[in-house]
Amino acid sequence: MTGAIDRVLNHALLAFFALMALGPIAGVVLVALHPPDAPISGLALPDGLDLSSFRLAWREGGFGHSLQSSAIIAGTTVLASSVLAILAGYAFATMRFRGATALFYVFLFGLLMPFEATIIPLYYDFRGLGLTDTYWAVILPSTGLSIAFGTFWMRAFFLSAPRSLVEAARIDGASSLTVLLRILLPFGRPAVLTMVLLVFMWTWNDFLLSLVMLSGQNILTAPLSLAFFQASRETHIQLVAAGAIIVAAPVLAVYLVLQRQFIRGVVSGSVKL
Amino acid sequence: MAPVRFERVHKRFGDVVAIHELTLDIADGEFMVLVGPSGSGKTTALRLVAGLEALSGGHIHIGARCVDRLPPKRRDIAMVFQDYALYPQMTVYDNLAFGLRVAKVPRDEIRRRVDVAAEVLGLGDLLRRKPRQLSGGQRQRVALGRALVRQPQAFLMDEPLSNLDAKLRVQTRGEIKRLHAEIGTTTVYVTHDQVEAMTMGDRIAVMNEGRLEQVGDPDTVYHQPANTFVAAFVGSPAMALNAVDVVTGDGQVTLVRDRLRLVVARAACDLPARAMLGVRPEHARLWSDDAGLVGPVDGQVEYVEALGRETFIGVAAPGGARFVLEADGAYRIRIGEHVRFGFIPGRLHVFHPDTGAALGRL
Amino acid sequence: MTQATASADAPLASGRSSTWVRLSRRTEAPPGEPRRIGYLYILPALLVYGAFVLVPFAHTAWLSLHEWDGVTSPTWAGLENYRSVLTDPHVRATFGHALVLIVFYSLLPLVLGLVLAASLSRMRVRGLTFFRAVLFLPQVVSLVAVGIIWKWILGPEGSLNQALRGLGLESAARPWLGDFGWALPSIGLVGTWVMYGLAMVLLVAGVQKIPASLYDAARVDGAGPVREFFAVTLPWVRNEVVVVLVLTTTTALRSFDLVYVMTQGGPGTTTEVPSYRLYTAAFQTGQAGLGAAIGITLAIVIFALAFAITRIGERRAA
Repeated sequence: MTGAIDRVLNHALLAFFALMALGPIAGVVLVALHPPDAPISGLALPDGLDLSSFRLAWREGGFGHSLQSSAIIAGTTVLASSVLAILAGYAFATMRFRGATALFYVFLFGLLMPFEATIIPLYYDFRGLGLTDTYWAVILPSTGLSIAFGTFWMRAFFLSAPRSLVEAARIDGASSLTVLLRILLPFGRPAVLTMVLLVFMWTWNDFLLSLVMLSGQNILTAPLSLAFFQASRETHIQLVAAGAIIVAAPVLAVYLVLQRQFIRGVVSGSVKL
Repeated sequence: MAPVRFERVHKRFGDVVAIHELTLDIADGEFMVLVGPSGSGKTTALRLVAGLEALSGGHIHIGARCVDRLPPKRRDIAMVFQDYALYPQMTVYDNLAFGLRVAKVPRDEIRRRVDVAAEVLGLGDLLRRKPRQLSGGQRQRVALGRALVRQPQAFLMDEPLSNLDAKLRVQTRGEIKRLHAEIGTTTVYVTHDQVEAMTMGDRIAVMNEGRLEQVGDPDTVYHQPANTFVAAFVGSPAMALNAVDVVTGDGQVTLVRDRLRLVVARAACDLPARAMLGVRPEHARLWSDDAGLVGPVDGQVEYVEALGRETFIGVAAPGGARFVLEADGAYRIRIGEHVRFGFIPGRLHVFHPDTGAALGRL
Repeated sequence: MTQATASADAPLASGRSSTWVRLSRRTEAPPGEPRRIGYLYILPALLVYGAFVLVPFAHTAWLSLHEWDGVTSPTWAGLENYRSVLTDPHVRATFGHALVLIVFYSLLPLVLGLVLAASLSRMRVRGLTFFRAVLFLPQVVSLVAVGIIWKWILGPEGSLNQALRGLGLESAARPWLGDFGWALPSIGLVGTWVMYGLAMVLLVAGVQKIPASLYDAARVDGAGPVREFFAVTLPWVRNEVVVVLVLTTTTALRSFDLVYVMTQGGPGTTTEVPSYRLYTAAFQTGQAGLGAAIGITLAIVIFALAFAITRIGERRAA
């Protein structure tokens, strides 16, 4: 029909929405590229690529430390939750044991449950044990929640594997662990990768848990340090902007490199919901 | 190599009975085909032998051992799946070697067996490739190879040819038979294709709704079907089955249906008042006076299938009876035309009208 | 011992083994099939999940029935906290604010997503991967950073006001986040910005799998674009719509990060959301019991909403 007009219109629509999405982010990058003392008013293009704001923000915001902490926390959470979720998801998908369905619903509960419903006792219990303000205070609850998602995700993947594959392996004499490690997992790299990316992203960006568990004396996660930083430097928008970029950068970098995997994973995953 | 025995095997899935008291003896080295429509229980029976399903009752013996409680890997069997189930991330070599490695067979022995299997199946060039780089036929051979290297007491094959195109199917059929002739391992082969069953089996076991309808060599099953189910299932085009009334009297039997009357010479068995009459197409011919046929019957042509080598004519006869005639490939006739035909004596199958059991031939 | 049975699915009579079939527990396990070992596989995950998610949840529920300042012993309060949640104007208002946010976080992105999906429904767009990657960006950035970005844009001298002034709409320019009436919608709009990309990506993907033949059939039947949308497009993306709604409403009901960074609940209490109120109650004003009750209520609302959405989605299918 009106193919050409349709096509132009569609591209225009897409471009508009994409621009809207990109705009604010690009704007912040531009702001951050201004030197720390220059006056900024709204949309302003920098005179040159000045990284001094970044350097100042880095030093004053202690982002070096907080990025490292975030990396440790996110890395550990991803590792622990992935391993446990793979094992649990595998069992739910391939083994028939009593109460499996009920137990799976128990895990599913964690997918929807708002995290706010658990932080209060988590904080006070950890404090009672003297464990607030440690990495574990953030890692353990994060892992718990990620396991809910991960188990659902990996179970969905293992369910999609042909049953005859597992049966052939069983006839060949493979144990359940061998089947998992040597046959199903190598097959499942994309699914595992997507799960790793999503858990990494969510854990890195988490704010509430870190805010509650970490007082800021010892450890800060990147978003937490950013929040404190911006609270104390409201007027120096360039520094705050630079801080925001620094904090968002790692996830953005991972995203840019692996975005096809990311999005494909999210899209296919929503079908399984 | 060993015999396989089903002893009163019973299998239930929840409330549904998949197999009713199956008893079947498969001789050492025999190629036994389990054939039947979907839901007949043939694949379930195979999986019970493999140990992929648990028995609800009865016993299964492989060789001298009762394997009821043994897991698949201890039963010394190998299975070829319908979708081949090749390990996707491994090379063909690793696919073949996997089971042996798990069993901790020494490396050079593995190499030796894989090489032999590869040569027998023509896989030599493909050993380094991965399954996704192979064609359907090649994958099928790798699946066969995987079973071969295990050197088991019995091969179990679950419709291995159904994913191949027609030509490849015929070719591979021959190869599997050839392999069996060479190696001689007991093979239990499941298929829904009765042509496959007839051409490949030493004996075939016809199954229907979890019951064994008949077991025997292809000839016997074809010419002496035990009941209407087997009669209709085996053979293509299918045997024509029609209900008739039986009139016995002074040395002859007359089969009656409406205006259809077939007078047959002395019958050698006791026939009930009603029966099912079965005739295969090749035993229903165009009428000719000096051919010694039973008949004549007048009917009307319903359809014509000219297949080149022969022509099948679907005929509507009096009383709503239907038959299929076989004629020479060059013969032509049109739909709606009148046709006169008869049957070769001794080839009229009579079955019990209610149970369907075979009563004899007239 | 009770023999509880899950219902049997279709029997494996023909054994087509390409999918997994859940069988009644009355079916005995084949020898050697891993069954009980399943518990072992699940155990570690269950332990961590149980200890840090389930137990705290139960603990929160228990706490919600008490009054506690976080220091001394909790005192029994029965359903008093829940009464507060339902009747205290401030607390109730937070849930009202959350509902307003749902419109922005959820309904608006859904509509935008459907519009885009509908317009893209019949064609393959070149460069879709690129657009998807950009549209999805707001989901990737930390909400703290998002809050900072938008705080700047919506500031008195921020880009929005600048643009308005530039367009000659001086009177429209205002301190968005400091305005009693506009603060909440402003946060809502930020939420729209964060979520619409997700909605679009999911819905466009859903729409792309509609077979072209359906559209052709509709067109042959003489359907215009609007009719086409309701008759062909919408039913097919039902699942995606459900997913988008569940994800977005859940986010809307939580939205702690943005509020904390942008307005701290203000001006006044106009942007207080339940999670923020929970935070202040539990950690600042010594009302941990109330906070717990808010948390449980929030959970109940989310579950109920998700349940309702899925049910409606399924019912349309029937």
